[in-house]
Amino acid sequence: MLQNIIFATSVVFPTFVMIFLGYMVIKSKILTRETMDRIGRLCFTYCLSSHVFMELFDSDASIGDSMPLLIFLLIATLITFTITWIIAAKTIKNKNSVGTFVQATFRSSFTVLGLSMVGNLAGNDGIVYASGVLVMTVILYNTLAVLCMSPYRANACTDSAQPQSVRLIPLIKDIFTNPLIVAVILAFLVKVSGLKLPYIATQTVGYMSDMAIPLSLITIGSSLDFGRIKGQLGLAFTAAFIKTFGLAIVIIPLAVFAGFRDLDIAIVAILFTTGNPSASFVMAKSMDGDCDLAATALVLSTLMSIFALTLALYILRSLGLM
Amino acid sequence: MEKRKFILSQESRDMIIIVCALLTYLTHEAFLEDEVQKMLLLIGFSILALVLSLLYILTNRPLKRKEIKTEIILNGLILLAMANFIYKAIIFS
Repeated sequence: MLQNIIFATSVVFPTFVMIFLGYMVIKSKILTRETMDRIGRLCFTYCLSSHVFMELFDSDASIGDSMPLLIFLLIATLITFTITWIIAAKTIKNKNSVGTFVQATFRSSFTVLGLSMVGNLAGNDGIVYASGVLVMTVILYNTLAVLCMSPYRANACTDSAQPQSVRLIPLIKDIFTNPLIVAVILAFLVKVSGLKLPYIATQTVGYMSDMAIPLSLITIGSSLDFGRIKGQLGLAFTAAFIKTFGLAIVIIPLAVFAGFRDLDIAIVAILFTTGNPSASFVMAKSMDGDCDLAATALVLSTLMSIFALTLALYILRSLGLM
Repeated sequence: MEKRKFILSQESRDMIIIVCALLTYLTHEAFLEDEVQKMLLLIGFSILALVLSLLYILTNRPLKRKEIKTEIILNGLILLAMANFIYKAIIFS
């Protein structure tokens, strides 16, 4: 029992210590939130994409093996998304909050939190194995977020003077030119074309790759703003609970019944217990959704995911499923 | 009514390339097992990239000197990769 607790904690703890460090950087005023936002952009655009590029480029593994997992995750996400949307549309009185609520219940921070956890669990090969999930989540989450928020648009953003309108073509462009997707494509093209990168290039990209996960976790911590917790706290709590515990309780046993074990089941657990990414707040803001709800759900789900993920990994390990 | 001239913009070309590269990647990694089929897929993608480049050059004439240099380098790389894929396809078959 103690060994399983140590295992679960050793996967989750380092990640959340880094997030706490990010939070303390802001709290102790070493850096401002604006600076951290810029570092976050730098990290997402260059470091994380370098990380994905290097892992895929260095490895001989293929995403073909993870196809059954991809199909399961796709179906599970679509079904839970539809059910949550139907229930939310019938029960939530403030229609402007419906889309934001639905987004908060399905959107996971897989690109940062998820990859970090998979890296802790299975090393570089795990990250390569999860690259298919990464591509799928980037495309699927953005598409579903637009789908559920479009019908409920209103000028609800309190901290934005002029809510920006979202046009479909630039949004599609944003999804496909996401640095992580471009990194996956580039790594694939360089690998299949048989090009050998010079030492200088691999070393430079390697440096950026090495700082990607720690830096992105610190920026997640710096983006946690407890001052933003306001508005419909009950609704935000419900969304965060569904995101981190509710869906996991239903989907992880289904994945076990479907025969997923080891890294597969760990990826399912990570995807359905990690909190919302900061992109969910940005999306709520640009789609004129309920920004307060998105921000509160982001903070609450990140905090809840510490317990949800530790618990999920502990149970799976205790049952000998991973 | 005046006939509108078709122009392939740099942006549209990039988007088509990215989406097709993504589809090629997924097909190559997830659905194809035969090495020859994989190489044929990559040759097809290379041809598409070359055709789009040609279309871009033809519909945006006259190009600037810098743009011409970029296109020559880009197409040179694509041709080299294509030769590599054809060579591998022959070996595997």
